[in-house]
Amino acid sequence: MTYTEASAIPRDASTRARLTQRLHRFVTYLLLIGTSICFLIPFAWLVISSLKPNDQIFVFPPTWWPKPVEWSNYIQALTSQPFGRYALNSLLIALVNVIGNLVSNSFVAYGFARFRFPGRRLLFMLLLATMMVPSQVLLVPQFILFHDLGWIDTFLPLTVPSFFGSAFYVFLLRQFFMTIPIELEEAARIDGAGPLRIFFSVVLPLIRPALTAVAIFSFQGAWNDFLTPLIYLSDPSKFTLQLGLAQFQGSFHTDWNLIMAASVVVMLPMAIIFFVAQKYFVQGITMTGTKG
Amino acid sequence: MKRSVKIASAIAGAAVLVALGIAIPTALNRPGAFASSKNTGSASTAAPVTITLGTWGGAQENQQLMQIIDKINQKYKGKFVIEDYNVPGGNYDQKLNTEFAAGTAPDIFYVDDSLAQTYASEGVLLDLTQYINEFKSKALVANPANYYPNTLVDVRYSGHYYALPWIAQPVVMYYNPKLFQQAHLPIPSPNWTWQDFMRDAKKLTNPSKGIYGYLQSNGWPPVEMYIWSYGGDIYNASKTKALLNTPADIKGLTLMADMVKEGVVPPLAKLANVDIEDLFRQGRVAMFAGGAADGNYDTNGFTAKIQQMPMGTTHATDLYIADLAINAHSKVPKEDLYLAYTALLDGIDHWKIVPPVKQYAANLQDIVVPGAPGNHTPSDRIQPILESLKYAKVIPVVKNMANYWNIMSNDIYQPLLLGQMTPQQAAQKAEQDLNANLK
Amino acid sequence: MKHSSLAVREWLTGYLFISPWLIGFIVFTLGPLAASLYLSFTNYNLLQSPQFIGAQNYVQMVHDPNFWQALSVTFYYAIFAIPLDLAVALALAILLNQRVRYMPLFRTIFYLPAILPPVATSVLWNWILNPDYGILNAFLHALGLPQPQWLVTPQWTVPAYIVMSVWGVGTWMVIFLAGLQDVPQSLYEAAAIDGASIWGSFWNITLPMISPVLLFNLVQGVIGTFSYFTQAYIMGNGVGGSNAGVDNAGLFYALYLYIQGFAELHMGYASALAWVLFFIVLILTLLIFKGSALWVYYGGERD
Repeated sequence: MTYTEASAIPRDASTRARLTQRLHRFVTYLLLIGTSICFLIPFAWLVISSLKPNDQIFVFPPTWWPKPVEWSNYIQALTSQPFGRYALNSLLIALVNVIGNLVSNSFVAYGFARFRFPGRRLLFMLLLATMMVPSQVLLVPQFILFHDLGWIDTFLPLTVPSFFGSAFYVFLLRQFFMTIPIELEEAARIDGAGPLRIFFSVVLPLIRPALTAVAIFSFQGAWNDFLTPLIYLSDPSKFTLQLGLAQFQGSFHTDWNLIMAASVVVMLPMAIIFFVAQKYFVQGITMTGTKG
Repeated sequence: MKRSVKIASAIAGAAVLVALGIAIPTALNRPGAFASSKNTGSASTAAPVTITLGTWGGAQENQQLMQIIDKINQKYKGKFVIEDYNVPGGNYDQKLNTEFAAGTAPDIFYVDDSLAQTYASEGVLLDLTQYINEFKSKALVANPANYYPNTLVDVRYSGHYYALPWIAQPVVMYYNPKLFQQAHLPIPSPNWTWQDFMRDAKKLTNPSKGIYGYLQSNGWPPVEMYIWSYGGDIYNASKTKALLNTPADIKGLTLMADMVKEGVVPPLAKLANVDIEDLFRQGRVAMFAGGAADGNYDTNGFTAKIQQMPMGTTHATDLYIADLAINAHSKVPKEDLYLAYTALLDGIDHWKIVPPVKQYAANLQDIVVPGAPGNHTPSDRIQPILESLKYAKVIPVVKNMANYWNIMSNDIYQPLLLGQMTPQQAAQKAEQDLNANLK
Repeated sequence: MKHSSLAVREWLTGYLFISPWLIGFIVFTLGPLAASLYLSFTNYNLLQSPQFIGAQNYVQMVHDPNFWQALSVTFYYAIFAIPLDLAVALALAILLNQRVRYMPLFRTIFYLPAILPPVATSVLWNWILNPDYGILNAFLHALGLPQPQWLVTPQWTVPAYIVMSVWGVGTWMVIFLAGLQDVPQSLYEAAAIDGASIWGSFWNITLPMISPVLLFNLVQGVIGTFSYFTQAYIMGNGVGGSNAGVDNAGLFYALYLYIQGFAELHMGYASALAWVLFFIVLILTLLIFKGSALWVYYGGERD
């Protein structure tokens, strides 16, 4: 009798819990799918436009289905310019940026997060302040600087600065470093580990999601950058993908269908990288249970 | 010590990457990514000099230009090599200005006509007097006397030439003969007036079918044309005063306002983000004022024809000019620069419609036009184009052109096309703002 | 003043860690920053050397109606875009943090808008926001709501950009998502056992735990909205029509700055505009940091 009585109560509670869970899951899926549709409609339009002949893109009222379906847009877009070379250039710049940013910014951010040194507050404010001056007025002085260094028409202005930290990523990583309980590092110090050891073995692994974010943003920033390559690169063999896309804009006539097709292709690597990077976006293992 | 080893290895890693950045491209047999490929141009007579050329234009256009450049490079092999540095997208001026600031502008470059005066006055363009004296007897393009005078208004400064135009495109009226026929209207004649135009436009407009007689958007066609066709002008001769609030100018503004009043143009809101010339090609707009080189050969169910713009009290139309100039601080020997400059102008004049040189314009039918029937401009278009070129005018250039367009948009186009102001009111406000902009 | 060797060692290690930035700052940033500050006191048209004119640019600014217009447009945008975008980004991040199948796919879809090439976005948005045929108005029509004349009227220009900004929350969303990873699930479970509501656990667990990241997004939001440029520049490139929208309703500060510097070749004035903006943003940021002590919780507090 106690057997059935006792088990009757937990069964009700667990059923209730399971129902709420199911409801919760249903609502979540609903929201996810609903929002996804919202976000995907414009992309559907992009892809559809990429399959239209140029004169059908700006019709009013707008049509949804291309007739005829111009798969040739993709072929024409990708062969009318050396997109293979552009892709290699973009890839090189992006990868170097990712490495440079990951390495330099984590060092600098940790320095600001954990160490007390004179002028720390001031220097951090200075760091933030560098983000507050609109880049348009720094363009010319920077160009002159790089010209004096002899770096014009090379990839150097587009890659080297990433090895010296960037205010955005430093600030971001600093915030994450500061959420790590100090006890972890103190414990490691008591065990005799030096700051570099603590940095690499204890602290960095804990902010893996943030580092992944930095890597993604860094890649994307370089991949989608239009203005800096435009200003610093002159030799067409060094052009990046974004410059290639812009070359579909002629003086009197723009091949929007080709821009659309090329854009879809240019976007794909970023989307794939982001998708693949998701597995690094997992909760840090040692975080649970440390702060009660 | 462990710490320094770690730091050293991090630095070494970065250095390896940089080295790879140099090695891989070199191995792939392209100019090294980390080494500049720009030759500063040696003055030695042995090796061929590199001449850098700054251009704008999309990929297709640029390929055509490359063919011209290749021919020039062949002809002058061993003497000089022209390298084309095309600027993608619409940011040519920004890049050129930045390069001026650093002193790295190309040796020869395209110049936006509205900036020619500014560049000339600030000393970044080479004074072409010596060039003209040397070459005017050797090449048609080197003698200003061979050019249509209206194409040279912006390339002269203090009595000297600082650039020469390579294209002079007048605006002409494209029309749809099929729609004219269906409305039992005679096709436009060379000296047709705005009254003829209005009469035609009203008959051609059929809102139920979504067909309009004409098209006027915020900025296109330029209202300046209408003003000029009534004998009006934007400024006085010395460009010290705006003349918008004068009877002739107001007539031009009224013309545009009447287009809206009579309903012969699509409502402005319907034109947001639409390719307006495409509306003509689709047969939704019967008449469209477009550049002579626009072509419109790929129309839907009819063959587009052109005529000169209608007259008010006189013939008038807009003119688009682009110039070629030499960098005043170029280190390339003048002799090579002059030869390259001449060759480029000559080559482009045989490519673009319409060449600003009278002798070349007279041979308009010989210029290859990919996409046109028979790859050449149809013979019935030659006459209207050449006639238009004789009286076409460039919109007057003042120091603050960006603000000029702003004023026109906010004070003229928007209020008149939306019926918010009378032409007189708009003229008054615009004249005030234009005068303020002249300071 | 004697410092312990331990403290000195900490100083040195600290400097060592931030040395990449320090070096980079001195080599790449300090020069151009100082140059642009100097340029703000000059007349500079890029073609000739700058000419010193003292504080004239700053005086001219006060009397420049476009300056005030640009400030008001930018403030208008910032006041609405920042809270809206933060809220949406956080909501989406929480949504994306659920344990649901195919989550990587959903996350990628939500992030897609942020990776669209800039060239294509103007066409896309002009289509979405078209007053007559755009899907936004079609959607509003379906809901029986009024359909504003986006972008073609002054009053609906900045709102159009605010709508566009929601689209671009991908970056903030990812950062919030990264921050949410650090919130231990055990906290939520404990709270659920104690009978906390969804809102309660959000307010008392989620927000405090992600407050460092929230601070980051807030400060970046301020800096970003005040220097908002790319979208405004791309959208406005039309024949005759100005970048700045009808009646300058879309004259964002950075856009005005760009026009002054590169289109009208008043680079000195543009530099002055830039440094005025700098001060405004600096003051706002300092205020935010000062106030942050009240609501930001660093798990590894060591300040």
